[in-house]
Amino acid sequence: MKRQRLVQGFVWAGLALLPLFIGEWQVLQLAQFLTYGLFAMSLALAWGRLGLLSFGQALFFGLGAYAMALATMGRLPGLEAWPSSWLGLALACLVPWSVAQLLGFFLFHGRGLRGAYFGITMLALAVLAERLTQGAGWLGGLNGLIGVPPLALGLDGGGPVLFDALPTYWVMLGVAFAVFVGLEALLASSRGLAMTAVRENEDRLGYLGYDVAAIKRHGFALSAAIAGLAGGLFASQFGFVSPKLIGFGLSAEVLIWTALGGREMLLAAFLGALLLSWTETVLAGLLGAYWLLALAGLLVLSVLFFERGFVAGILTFIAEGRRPGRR
Amino acid sequence: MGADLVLALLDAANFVLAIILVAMGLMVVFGMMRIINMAHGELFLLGAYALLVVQGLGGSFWLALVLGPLAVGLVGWLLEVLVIRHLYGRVLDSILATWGLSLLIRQAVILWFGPQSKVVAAPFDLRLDIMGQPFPAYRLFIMAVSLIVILFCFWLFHRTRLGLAARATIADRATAEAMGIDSRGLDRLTFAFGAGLAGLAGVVMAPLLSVDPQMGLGFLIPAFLAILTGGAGELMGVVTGGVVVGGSQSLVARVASPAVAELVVLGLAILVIRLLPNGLVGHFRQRR
Amino acid sequence: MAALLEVRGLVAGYGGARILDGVDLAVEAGGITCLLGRNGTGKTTTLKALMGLLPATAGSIRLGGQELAGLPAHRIARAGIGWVPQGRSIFAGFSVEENLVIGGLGHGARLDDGLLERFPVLAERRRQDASTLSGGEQQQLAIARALAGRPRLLLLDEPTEGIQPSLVDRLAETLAGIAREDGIGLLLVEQNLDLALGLADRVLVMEKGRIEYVVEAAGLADALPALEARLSI
Repeated sequence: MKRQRLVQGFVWAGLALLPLFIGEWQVLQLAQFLTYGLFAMSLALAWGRLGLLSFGQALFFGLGAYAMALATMGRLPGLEAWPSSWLGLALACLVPWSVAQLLGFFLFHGRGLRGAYFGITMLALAVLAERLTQGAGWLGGLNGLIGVPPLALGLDGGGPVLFDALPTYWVMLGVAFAVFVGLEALLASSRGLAMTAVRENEDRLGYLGYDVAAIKRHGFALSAAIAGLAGGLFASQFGFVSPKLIGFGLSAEVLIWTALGGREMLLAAFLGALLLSWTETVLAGLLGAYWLLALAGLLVLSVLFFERGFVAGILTFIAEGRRPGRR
Repeated sequence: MGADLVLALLDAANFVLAIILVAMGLMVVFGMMRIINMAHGELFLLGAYALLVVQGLGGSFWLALVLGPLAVGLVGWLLEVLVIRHLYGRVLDSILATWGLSLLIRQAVILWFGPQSKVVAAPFDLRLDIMGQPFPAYRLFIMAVSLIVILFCFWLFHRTRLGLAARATIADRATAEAMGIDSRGLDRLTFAFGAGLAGLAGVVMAPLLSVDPQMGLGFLIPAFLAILTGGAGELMGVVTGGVVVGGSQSLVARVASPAVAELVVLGLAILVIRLLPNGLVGHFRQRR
Repeated sequence: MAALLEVRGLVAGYGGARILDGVDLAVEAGGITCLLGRNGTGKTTTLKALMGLLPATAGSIRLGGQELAGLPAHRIARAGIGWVPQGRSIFAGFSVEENLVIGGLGHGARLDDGLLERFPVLAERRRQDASTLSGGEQQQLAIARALAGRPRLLLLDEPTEGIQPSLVDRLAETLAGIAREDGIGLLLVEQNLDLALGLADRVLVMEKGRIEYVVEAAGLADALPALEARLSI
């Protein structure tokens, strides 16, 4: 456990120092990938911890991104004069959180929706959300919304702006680190143990008097809020939101990042997103469509023979000096 | 008014039967093997491309109607041997792995045929006059194929020795094996059969759709919703669900937009699950 | 005379636990061998390993000279071993007739009327859902289902369990008939000592995963005190 913490510390410290050794353009790109990493952590929480295989996690990322864009671009009815980044961030968390609470109410209570049914419903929702967004004029339709301003520190949208590469990177890393520390603390608490118990055997937990549906609903909503936060941060950096952020494609990507990184280890999922996104920018030009083909193949292989994920395997190997045993 | 109503109902029936046609293979595989095959839409896609290839080589639609399901069935057989057999009893992993397969197949199709959509020709271009309105005869052909497939599946599972062996295996695998039933062989056969049904649906529906690498997803979701709403585990469930999902989607799309219709159907499916959990979700058990 | 079934050094278990530790036994065609032993000594495990429902990790299982160890269950069934499991495991939701047809499915055998003549109760109820039968009738169905595959050897796991005493004698007659008239070998796991002694021409006692004591029919009367001592708790 101690060595594990040590390895985690080295990883975060390494990430903090990394931008000092690479070019500015690469730093900006990495800063964007940090929001993907945050996004992957949200899925690791829902899937790896609660056993909720969300095939449509981009629904929440996209909701967060659009909430941020609408708020900071002054497109919210009644709030046009108050394009605050803080309001945007709050909505980016709150809107997905509420949607997940509502979904959770429908999908988890009663005998509830298990495993596959849940995954399929989420997939259907994400695909549908993408189509609805494409047709919604208020949201910019197919073109999306261009000109999302960067994060501004003033409450009213004024004040210093987060624009330069290094500060942006460090702020993103700081948010990711804070979320990581918070989630690790939560997962180590009794609440976190109950979540893991849901994944392992939700029936037995129910017999013991736990409100399984509520545990799932709150965990899922937390996961959605983190995904939304990631989406909001992404939008303010990228300056542009489009229906692609809410739909099937990104949902697929985050699932692959999380699966190949390691669904049961937040840091592994986070690094999985970072590494794969980075590799993609380097190799995509070279491999083109073969990149996704290779990823899909790797995904199938990892499910069959290495469910824990590759980054998780490496991290565990470093921390414990041995191959992780199968659960 | 009368003609409009008849056409609306005909459209709805057409959509219902199309969904059941796509969902049938999915259902057979799930009912028999407790495997949710997320790659089913891509097997459907392969059927459509099989028609494209056969027509490209100068073959007829009818040749593709025979070769397409066979080829896709063979793909299914290979998938079972290479991947699926490792996944029995691991429900979540099976969804993830088959979903990975779906990406793999889709991407392979993009590499092979390009991302753009293609057009394939229907075998006949007849229009019937239905109460003064033109209606393509080919759509009636699809409905007939779907009805034949439904009846064939009922016959196969409830009137043949093979179907009896399959149902016995679903009921009690170990005892069925001790009776001399080759359950592993049945697994391979079932998955290949489910894939072949997807391929058949792909061939038959392709002339009405734009054939592109994304077409699988569009039919997979309503097919899943049909199974989910109707109740998984038996053939009647998919027929019922197909009627509910396909019927409401088609009729709502007529008064509102297609996207709204999908939203309504998804909401309906979620509501059904919430209100009738026993009938619909109770079947979802892990095998073994 | 070579035995119909010859088992040598059979080893099997669950996970790491080794339940069978070198079982040797033999059953002749038309003979009835009864396997006795206290709970947890490996009787049911022996039958499952013979049937291929549990992989044998070592040893040899020969049926009429053909090696069966390592084959999947359905191949073993087709080689001529019939299965009457503990608790009967009839297919609920299927009719009596369907159950019998299932018994012959893997063997390419059609349901023949001779089978129904032997079990008149089943003939009467052939269209009925099998789960509506009484315990005794279900046991007859399980035996008839196994016979539908025309086996050379029948494995029966506690056929009298949960059957009213008045029917136990009838069941014993049926089993004796199957062995003597059809020349089918029977390997029977039983808790009912009286039934076992009345029926069997060889009694085996299992202890800790091995056959520790063998008594042939001729010596049964003399061996009774020793048997009872070994089985008492």
